[in-house]
Amino acid sequence: MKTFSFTMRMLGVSLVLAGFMGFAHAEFPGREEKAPADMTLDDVKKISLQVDKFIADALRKEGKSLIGDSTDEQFVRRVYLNIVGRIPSYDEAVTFLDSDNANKRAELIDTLLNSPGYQSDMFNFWADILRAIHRPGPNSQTNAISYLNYVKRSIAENKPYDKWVAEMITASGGGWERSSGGAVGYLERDKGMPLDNLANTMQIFTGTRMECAQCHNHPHNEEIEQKDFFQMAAFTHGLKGPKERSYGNMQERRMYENAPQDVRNFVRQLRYDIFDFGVVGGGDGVIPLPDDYQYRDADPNEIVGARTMFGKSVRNARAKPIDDGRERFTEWLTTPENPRFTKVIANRLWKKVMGRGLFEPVDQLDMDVSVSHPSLLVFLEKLMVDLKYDMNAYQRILYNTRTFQFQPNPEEHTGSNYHFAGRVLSRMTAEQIWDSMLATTMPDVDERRGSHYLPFIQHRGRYVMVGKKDMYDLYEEAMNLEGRALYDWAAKTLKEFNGDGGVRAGEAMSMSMMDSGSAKGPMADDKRWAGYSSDLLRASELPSPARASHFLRKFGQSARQVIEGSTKESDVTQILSLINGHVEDYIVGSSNAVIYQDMEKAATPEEKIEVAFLTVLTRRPTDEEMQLFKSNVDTVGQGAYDDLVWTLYNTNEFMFVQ
Amino acid sequence: MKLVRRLTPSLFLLCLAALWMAAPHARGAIDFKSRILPVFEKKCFDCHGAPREEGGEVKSPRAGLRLDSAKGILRGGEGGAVISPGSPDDSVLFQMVSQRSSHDDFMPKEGDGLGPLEKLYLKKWIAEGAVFDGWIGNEEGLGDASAAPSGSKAKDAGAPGEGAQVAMVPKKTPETTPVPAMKDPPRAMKGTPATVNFQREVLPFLKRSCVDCHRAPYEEGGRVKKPKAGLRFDAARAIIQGSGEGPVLVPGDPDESEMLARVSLPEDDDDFMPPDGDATPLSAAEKEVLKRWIAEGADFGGWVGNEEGLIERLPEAPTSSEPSAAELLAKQVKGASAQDLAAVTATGASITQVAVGNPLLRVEYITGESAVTDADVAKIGAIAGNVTELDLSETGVSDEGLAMLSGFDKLTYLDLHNTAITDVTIDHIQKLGYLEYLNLYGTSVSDASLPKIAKLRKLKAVYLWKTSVTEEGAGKLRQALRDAKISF
Amino acid sequence: MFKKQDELSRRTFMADTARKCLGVSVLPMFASKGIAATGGAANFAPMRPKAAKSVIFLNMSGGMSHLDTFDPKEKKDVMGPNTAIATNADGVRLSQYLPKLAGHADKIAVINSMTTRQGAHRQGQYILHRSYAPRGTIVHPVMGSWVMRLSGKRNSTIPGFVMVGTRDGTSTSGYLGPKFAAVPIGDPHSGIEDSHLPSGVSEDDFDRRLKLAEAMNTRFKKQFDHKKVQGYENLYRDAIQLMKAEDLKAFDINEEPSDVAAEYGESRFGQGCLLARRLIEHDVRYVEVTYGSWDTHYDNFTNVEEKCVVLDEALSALLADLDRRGLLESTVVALGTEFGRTPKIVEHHQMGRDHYPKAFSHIIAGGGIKGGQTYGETDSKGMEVENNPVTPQMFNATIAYALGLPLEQEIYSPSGRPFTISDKAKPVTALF
Repeated sequence: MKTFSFTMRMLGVSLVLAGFMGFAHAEFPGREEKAPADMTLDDVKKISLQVDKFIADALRKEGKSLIGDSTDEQFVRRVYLNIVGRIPSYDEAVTFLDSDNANKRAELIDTLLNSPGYQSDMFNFWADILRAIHRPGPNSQTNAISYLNYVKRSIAENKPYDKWVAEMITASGGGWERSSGGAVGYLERDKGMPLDNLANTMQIFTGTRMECAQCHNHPHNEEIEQKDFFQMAAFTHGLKGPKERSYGNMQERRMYENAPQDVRNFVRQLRYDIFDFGVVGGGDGVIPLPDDYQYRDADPNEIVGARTMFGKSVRNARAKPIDDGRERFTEWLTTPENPRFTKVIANRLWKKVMGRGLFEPVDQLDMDVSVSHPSLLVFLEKLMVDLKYDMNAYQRILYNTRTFQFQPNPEEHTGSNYHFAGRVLSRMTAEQIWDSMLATTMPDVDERRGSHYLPFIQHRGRYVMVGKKDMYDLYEEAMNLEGRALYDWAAKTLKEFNGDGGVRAGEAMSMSMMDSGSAKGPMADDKRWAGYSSDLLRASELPSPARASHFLRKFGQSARQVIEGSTKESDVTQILSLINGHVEDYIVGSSNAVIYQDMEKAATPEEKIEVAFLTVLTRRPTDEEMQLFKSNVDTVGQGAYDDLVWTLYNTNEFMFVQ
Repeated sequence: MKLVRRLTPSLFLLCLAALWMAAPHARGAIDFKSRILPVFEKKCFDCHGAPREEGGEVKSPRAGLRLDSAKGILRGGEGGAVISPGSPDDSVLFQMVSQRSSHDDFMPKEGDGLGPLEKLYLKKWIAEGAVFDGWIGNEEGLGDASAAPSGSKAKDAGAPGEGAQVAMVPKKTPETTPVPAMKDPPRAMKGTPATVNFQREVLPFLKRSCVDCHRAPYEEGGRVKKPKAGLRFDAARAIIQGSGEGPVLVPGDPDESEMLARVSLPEDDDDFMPPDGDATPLSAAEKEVLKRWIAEGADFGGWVGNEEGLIERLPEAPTSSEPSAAELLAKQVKGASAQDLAAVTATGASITQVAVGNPLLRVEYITGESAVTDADVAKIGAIAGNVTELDLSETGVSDEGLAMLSGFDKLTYLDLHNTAITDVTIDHIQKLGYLEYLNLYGTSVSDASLPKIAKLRKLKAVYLWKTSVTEEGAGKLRQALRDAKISF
Repeated sequence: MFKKQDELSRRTFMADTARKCLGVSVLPMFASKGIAATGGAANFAPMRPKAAKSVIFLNMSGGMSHLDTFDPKEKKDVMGPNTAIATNADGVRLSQYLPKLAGHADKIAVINSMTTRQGAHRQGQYILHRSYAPRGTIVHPVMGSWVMRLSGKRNSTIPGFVMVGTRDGTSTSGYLGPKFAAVPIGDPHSGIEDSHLPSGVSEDDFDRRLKLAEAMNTRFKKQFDHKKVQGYENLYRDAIQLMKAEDLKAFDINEEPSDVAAEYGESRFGQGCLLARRLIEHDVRYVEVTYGSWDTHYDNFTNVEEKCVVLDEALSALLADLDRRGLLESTVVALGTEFGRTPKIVEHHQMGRDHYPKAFSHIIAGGGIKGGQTYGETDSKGMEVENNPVTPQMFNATIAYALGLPLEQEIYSPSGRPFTISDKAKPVTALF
């Protein structure tokens, strides 16, 4: 508390937030504590105002005038796209636009932040950063589902960011062990490439690029040397899979060779999905330098002890193996004193809300990084700490700022630092486009679940033992078996599978016994969605990533091979799919699309045109536009409505978020 | 954070540059006109010059910044001053050109960035106070001199009317052809024979003073030692390649050659090579030899050196010993004029050179082919003397349009497949004595043409699939042109 | 708008096209000034003057047995039921599973000394295409993307890099970005996805819709006169141009005369090769056709023989077809795989063969390559490379060399790391 006020005073920033500060400091004894989530709207607005002040001051200093507030139409579209990752449906748009509640913007923000759509959008956001994918190994069938669900659950629980990160890096055990709950998937993502994993960890969570230092001293960044990299990597060195030890076992090898083909295949699959999937070991704290180490300060293959390269020094100076390297590393990483950890997430979420970071790229915090509003960044960092890394509460404050709600900036911004005078126009992400189209295709799309995240056992392309046994059970049964016992059990279990016969994905949904962490809620065969293709699921319910030829990938969804690999660049194949493909196949050519149903209900051509505009563009048509489409109805007749719907999707206004 | 760091190889030059700045200089100031101005001219003037008219519109200098006059440079742009004399690190101009090229602020926006040596000179020039040494530049449209920030050291920047020089804005003359201008051969190569023998006179002191640190990676005590700054002096190609930061040798131009600049510094300069005590510095006589050798074009006289670890030298084209027809023909022609080329490309043709620096051209229609007509093709006649490869396949040309072919006397390659041509066209072709490749598949050419084709003794390949030619005719042609491949 | 596009004076359009073409096809030569200016005189040979223009890469995914295709041996215990046959070129012997190809051996160069250390499919395919080993921190571009990056499109109205058949989920262009990515074609018969108007939408309908969209966009553009908005509109123009492009027919193999189509065989791979030839003919720069399931751990001989029926027919047809059209000189045809298979036959896997990265075979033809030769040798069992080892990087360098591309030109990834087209490997110039 003291530190906080002191720092703020030093910066000449006054935080007049007694009530807020009351709950914000856990370490302050004897004071009643409120969770960030319980902040009243008044609390929130006061802080939002502080944030706006930084932006306004900077604008004034640059002699730029403040820009006006967005219209309700702009706001509702923007806030839906930003928080739940899709445009509002017709009903949602009209409800908001026609409401005369003076507080309706703040209330909508709160509603959206607590909706399933928020979780869906945040999953897309994190899956891109974490490279969370269904099949990390070429042969794995199911093994990352528990991790994906762990990520979803962490978002749904609004797990504090620092805790969440710590959990992933210190996780131990099998991936399908109920107690570890899939968190090991983070380390598992780079199985067999622990050095890459460390480089990714440093990039994602501290904005430090070390991948070059893996092989040689950093050519651009004189702070980082190869030795630094290995000293960091020493913390997490020495991790193993939960059952790797049985591999070299001769007896088992013989048993494997002698087993019938189907049993052999099954055991091999178990290796990929169960025995290999997981992590044990606490981190050795020591690591040998590579064979080709070429600098003078150490020899190749020399064992070096763990040592942090910035922030508070944590080290294993005597280079003797320890068993809690990961914990030490995590403690150093996630403490608010780490000079980079909080900055990165504060800025990352700022960018998510505001469209541009205070510095970019958000994961490259070089020494010479250029920050557009340095004192605001300090403020946001403190805010994040005071909110105890509650990402939802943090975003709530940002969404309530005027800065978020500004008019779009009519000017094109080039160059690095942005002044935030108006929102930057940007193309929708692949997921936003796909999910927005779904929202105009079927009702309640945020609630529709597919089977891709259920922990079913897959056998010969079907789901078996649904409702009786899932991957967690399989793990418990198989994990402790060795040698003969394993093969006997495998043969028996296979017989069970074959007897069961299995079901296809769609059927499995209705029989599901529910994963503890995900897929609660209505099933795919819910009557609301009768008649809609089972492929029409929100991006977050489709496999991660979608298949290579999928609409999502075409529009730039990341293949989730590299951190934040998604792109908003456009190309001709995208346009073709808008002109001739998806829009035609699922919307214009499909009478049960909600947009058509809503238009159906409208009585006059004018009303129908208005419904279509509100559905696709979240605004009513201008007189001119009304005239344009009206006269098209007059000349073409019924087909004019297809023209209308097609046209609205194929306008720039649909594609760009204002 | 460490206080003292070893220099990483690719930072080597920049860091040295920084140290150089800090060190006292025995040498004179960087000369603006010879060192800095040419760089600005080449890389900056296009966007940061005086307002000019282009296509009916007035183009203002980008960001309001003009680098074509001393006043403009000192005044800066919309964002304020761009140089801070004495302090390169505070100078936006220097910051922008030394950004990573992927950075938003990187300058120049188009074309290549500044070379390491150029950056070095720029930095040094600013550090020395950004003195223009009497240069004024183009003051047109700049208003009055008081606009220059006061207190700058550039006292000689103002003084208008003092025989104001006209800025040397490089004008793009319309005559410039898309055929690449060969870089002028190094001065000394033009006439006087080389006098310095590299192996006898230069190599010995390079070996003595440079190669120890600058040589192919080698193992020592179990460690691989890499060449300092990625620069090697142990192979001719390596010397030409230069360091990780760029070339160190510019044949014909000692002033631009960093390898000479470095050894010529005062010994107490931090940039001086070889660095303190590591090896014997070059003597004055040796420096003179080195300078002469560079000025004469840096002829290695057949010395190759240790090529280990370098990418294998790409061999000459397969036709090794005797020069190809293209090479021979190239000697007979000059580059085509820009207007003629433009007229041909306007018909949709694509024109490429057959090789770098060769005035001979390849003309083809890459798209929209079926609509290309005789009228379009007729335009190619304007550059007939330059065309050695002509691809009119799948176009709408006819015998009539191809009557002009007889003027294409440098033709070695002619593709007419899937066109409406008949035996008539072969009459025009039979005069093309250099022809090596003739593709007629899918045309109605018949046996009647074969005797004429047989006269083209240089032919290496003739394509007659799906024509009116008979098996027998093709057989006869094979007899006549024994070395050619007859595809039937 | 559509009509207008059509009229848009074909002249203007052509001129525009030409400008684009010039931009891409002349520029690469200028781009090499780094080489030409510094040392062209003495030490760097110029790029090949008669460079090939396009590439057809045939990807035998799964690990093609070298012994049962291009590197047959005498020994019974290595060859099982398979034997070698002579060909129309003295320097080349093939497996008996490739009888038709034996009649075209004079056109191909066989490399029997391929070697790598990547023994897993994904890693092997990765390095085969990208010349770098896979890393968790970056995705490297594939050869086709490199070629596009270094030399650009030839035909500006249709895509320059096309991949026929399956591909893994990894971005083809990696850090080079989507501009240089492959356009994927699943079924060779169906062409580019969505490139035709949906049934039920007439040209008139489409025309009307475009006019409406244009009217809507005018308002938006007034409000946001941004480059990216403009760029987006240009893409619409490009897409419509593509739909109308004369050369879109390149993607339609149904236009091929049935006798030609039949030569390639009815298999998907055969038809893919046919499509590749059509595309090359229309100046597409790089076409890859994948032919999978070479992973013959079990029952190697039956499987390879079956696979070879298709390969033999398609490859022979492709080579002959390119040759008689006079296209083989300007087209590199390369056939590669991620690794070979063990000389040891695993009997209890019904005569299977396992992965074998130490020695395997590729072939390369056209584009200035001398046909009828074998380069590099393995020992009598096909176990060890005896001479002239060739890595996947060198193989890629050879393709790049045939195209006249600057092998040493460094391209920086967004994080500032320098890369070259084939990781600085040397081309096998002896093949030319």
